[in-house]
Formats: sequence, C-alpha cells, structure tokens
Amino acid sequence: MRSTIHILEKWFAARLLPWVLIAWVLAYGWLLEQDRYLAFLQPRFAGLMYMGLIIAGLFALAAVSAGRGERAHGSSHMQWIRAGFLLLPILFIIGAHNTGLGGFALSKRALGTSMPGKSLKQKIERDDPSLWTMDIKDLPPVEQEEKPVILSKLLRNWEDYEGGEVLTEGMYYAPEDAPEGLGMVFRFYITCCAADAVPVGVFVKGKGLESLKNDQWVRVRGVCGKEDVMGRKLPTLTLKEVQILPAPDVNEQYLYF
Amino acid sequence: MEKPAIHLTPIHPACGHVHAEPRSGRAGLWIQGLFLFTAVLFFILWGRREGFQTFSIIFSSIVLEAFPFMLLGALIGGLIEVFAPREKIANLLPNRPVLTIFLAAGLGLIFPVCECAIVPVVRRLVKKGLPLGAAVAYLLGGPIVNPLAAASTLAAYGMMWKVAMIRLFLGFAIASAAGILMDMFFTREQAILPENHVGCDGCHGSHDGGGFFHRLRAGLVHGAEDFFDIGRFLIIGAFVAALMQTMISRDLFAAAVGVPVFSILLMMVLAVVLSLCSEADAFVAASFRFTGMPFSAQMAFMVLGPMLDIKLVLMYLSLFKKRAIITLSALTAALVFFSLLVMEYVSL
Repeated sequence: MRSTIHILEKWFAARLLPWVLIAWVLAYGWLLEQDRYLAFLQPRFAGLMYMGLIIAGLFALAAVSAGRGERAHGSSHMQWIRAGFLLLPILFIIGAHNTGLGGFALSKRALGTSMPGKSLKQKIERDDPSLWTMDIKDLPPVEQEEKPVILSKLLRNWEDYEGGEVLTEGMYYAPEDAPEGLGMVFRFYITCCAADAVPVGVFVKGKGLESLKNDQWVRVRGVCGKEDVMGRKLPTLTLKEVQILPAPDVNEQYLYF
Repeated sequence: MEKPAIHLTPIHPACGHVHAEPRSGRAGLWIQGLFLFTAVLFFILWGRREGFQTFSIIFSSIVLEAFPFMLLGALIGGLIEVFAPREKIANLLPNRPVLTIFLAAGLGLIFPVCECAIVPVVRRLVKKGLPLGAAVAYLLGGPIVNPLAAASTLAAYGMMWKVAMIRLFLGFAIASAAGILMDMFFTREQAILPENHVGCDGCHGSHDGGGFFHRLRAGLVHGAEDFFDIGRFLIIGAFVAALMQTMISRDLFAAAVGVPVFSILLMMVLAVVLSLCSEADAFVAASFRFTGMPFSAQMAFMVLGPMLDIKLVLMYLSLFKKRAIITLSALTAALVFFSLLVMEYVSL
C-alpha cells in the first residue's frame, strides 16, 4: 500500500510542471476576462498579461509533449514544493481580486504626515474656527450630472483652483488622532502595479465628518485653500457639499499614470 | 518518422553534477515547505482582514507584474540554450575581459531586460561561457542602463534629463565596477553554482541534431524548466517584499531627511525592501521630493532598486553560490552608497 502511494506520488510529481503552467494559463485567461487584472495592474499592462498567457501556453504545450517522467529534476518532494510555490499566487489573486487598497494602505504610504512625539491634533493649527461649522447632515446632495475633477489633476493644478469651489471624489479617511471635523479624500495613483501605488489626496474640513466611515467613497464640493499642517501649507477643501457614493468596481478605483 | 526525445536527466555525464536539489538539502526542503504551509494557513485564517487584504493585493501585484517578464526571460534563455552555440557566443565577446564587462554593463541599451527576466537569461549565458565579470555587469546594469528605465525617470521627474542621465551613468559605472571586482575576488568555479558551469546543461547535447521545430520545442522545455526552478525564488521574494510594504510605514523613511548619510542609507534599505520594478521606482523616488529628501538619497533608491532587492537576491540563489551572493550584495550596496555620498558632497 505504502509503496503504491509512493509510486503514485512520484508519478504525479514528475508531471506537475505542465499542470502548473496550465493553471497559470487559466489564471491569465480569468484575469483578462472582464479586466480583472486592473485590480492589480495598470491598463496598459494588458499586453503583458497576453504575453504571459501566450508564453505559459507555449511552455505548457512543450512540457506536455516532451515525453514523460524524464522531465523533472530533483526529488519528488522538491517538485511538489516548486509547484506549490508557483500555485500560491493564484490563491492570493483569487482572494484579493475584488478588493482594493484603502485606508490601511494609505496609513503606510502617505508621506509627510508623521512627526515624532506629536499627534495630528497638535500638528494642525486652526486659523479660523468659523470655517469648521458646516455640518454634512445639512448639506444638499451633489448633482449627478456634474463631472468631478480628478484628484490627481486637482492636486497638480492646485494653484489654479485655489480660492474657488471644486467638486472631486475619492475615498474618505480620517486618522485616529485627527481633530474633529478633519479628514482626507484620497485615491491611489498607480505607475505599474498596486505595489507602487502612491496616495494622492486633499484634507477636507467640515463639521460632522465623524459620521463618515473610513474607506467610504464620497463626492465632495469645497473651497480650495491651504492649511498649516505640520508647519507646511497643505491642500485643504473646506466642505460645502458631500455625497456618499457606492464603491466603484475595483478596476475603476485607481488613477493611472 | 519518430521524433527524437528530449531527455533531461538528473546527472550530467559531462560534468558529473547532480542536478537534483542542487542547493537545498533536507533542511531547505523543510523550510520551503513550512513557508508554503504558513502562507496558506495565514490566507485561510486572516484572508478577510484589511491588513491582510492589502498584503494580498501587493503580493499578487508584484507577482503578476514580474511573471510575464520572467516567462519572457525563461523563453529567451531556453532559445539561447538551443540556438546559440557556445562557440558563437565566445566569438562575439571581445578578447579583453574589461572591455567585455563594459560592453555587458551597457548591453541593456540595445537589449533591455528587466530585473525579473534577466536572471534566467544570464543563467543560460553563463552556461554558454559568459565570463563571471560580464555576467555580473549585465545582471546589474541590464535593468537600469536601458531606454525604459530612462523614459520612466524622465516622466517621474518632469523631463529632467540630468536626473535620467545621472541614473543611467551611475548604473553603468556601478555595474562595471562590480563586474571588475567580482572577477578579481572570485573565479567562475568559486562563484557560480556547479549546475551552471560551462558544458553542464543537462541535455546531453541532444538538440544539436533534429530540425528547427524539434529544437524550438527543446528551447521551450528548457524555458519551462527554468521557470519551474526559479519561480519560487521570485515568489518568496515578492511575499517578503509585500509583507514589508504592508507592515512598514514609508513615513518613517521620510522622517530622516535631515542627514544625507542616513537618508541615503534609509532609501537604500527602502529600495531593497520594496522590490519594485525599475520602471516604477522612479515614481516612488520622485514622491519623496516633497518631503525634503535629498536628491542623492532619491538617486540611491533609483540606482540600487533594480540592482539589489529581496526577490533578486533570492533569484541569485539559482545562479551563484551563497558566498558570491553575499559579496556581490555587499559590493553593490557599498558602491551605491559611496557614489551617492560623493555626489551629495560635490553637489551635482
């Protein structure tokens, strides 16, 4: 019995390579169907996905036709380990394909928001308390037809918008130590893949922001200005209107270079 | 007519090396098995947690971005194996070793290969007799001294040609210096794993005969095997890099902008930890401009990233012996650090 299992194990181990490659061909096909890969990569990398699909397919065909049993190098245990590692990402890809980066990732990637020994509350000087009186519960909903300014465009041209009203949208996030009425609207900006995602966002201020939850998608209208945060003047929107939005599909959440 | 079979046996008759489990003994097997088991267990237990989902996205992204390049590298390597005779490659190389190293360090300009694709390509070239110094120079220089890296640097830094030129020049200079130094410190046999030695391709030279399609198939099989062999190193590297990205706040690095020496060192650590591709790291480096991070430290990040990171070091395990990897890593880090320190103080 034991030797039969051993023989079977060796037999399967020697044939793992084509199966691993076939699994990757299927994974690429699945990612390309309905643009699922956009949860991880930027759209211009579709060609890269097709390239992976084609090469993995060619490798699989060659491995299947290359004769049996003689193909594998190493012990059968090593073959299982190699196959296991190569299949591991597929598990994670399937598990993560319908989620996006949110406030947790923002807290690890935002730059210039920490100053040892000081909380965000201490870092922000409120120059005009009257600016903080708007309560989001009283705000009228934003009209659907109006097109919001994309956050990256808004930040790149902040000087042009300063002093005027602007409509934009993104995810809401308020750090734990943020003072009442201060939060942030942000999105992630991707160059190649989600691993290099850089957050872009503006501070928003207005009374009643506490009723918003972190990672909630919002559309906000506010007056563009700059607030003193940690000794630097940072882009801040003084809220005039806010609307909670349903989360877009994962493949529409990121901004791409 | 019966097709000639492609036999890949574990023991190569020419060199006598056992191809099976060349580096990993029983302990290595257990460690890798445990790693795999733990990864799956964490996925089952914590799959729904926000932090773990962030980790999953980053890990999947790194793998998805790197795999096509690695497959391409394995394919090129496989085709080199069957279509490029050793003698032809030897004839292409200049007679003077230093000239070969310089040529290899700048080869990326006409033959651009990113860091995930370069290891399988160099592995095959080494088996074909590429000298150690040239292999190191191409390995380090290929992903950085190339038009794609230059274009991404220009885009990230608002078309500042000086930044792109400095990056390419430093990449070329450091890759060449590392190649020359590795040649001085090691012989081929001391640095390169036995199964990558010349004449040790494990194929009995079976693809000398056969038609084009038979050789093509043999090249594809070689490529598939390289992918099967090296893939796990990339995955372990991507896993560790994703873990670091999930756990460590980048703001910690931005906090040390005051002292250039520390800034350079910290940005070098960040480059190793993040394991980004050479096209993306210019954008991440550029995002540090607004924190007051010295330019030399940003450049250290951009130069070291494509040469030395977690997944690359793990992939080197399929090519070099451990002592050579440690020396190469230390040399590369030291060369980058001192070059950038000099640049900082001569205020380029």
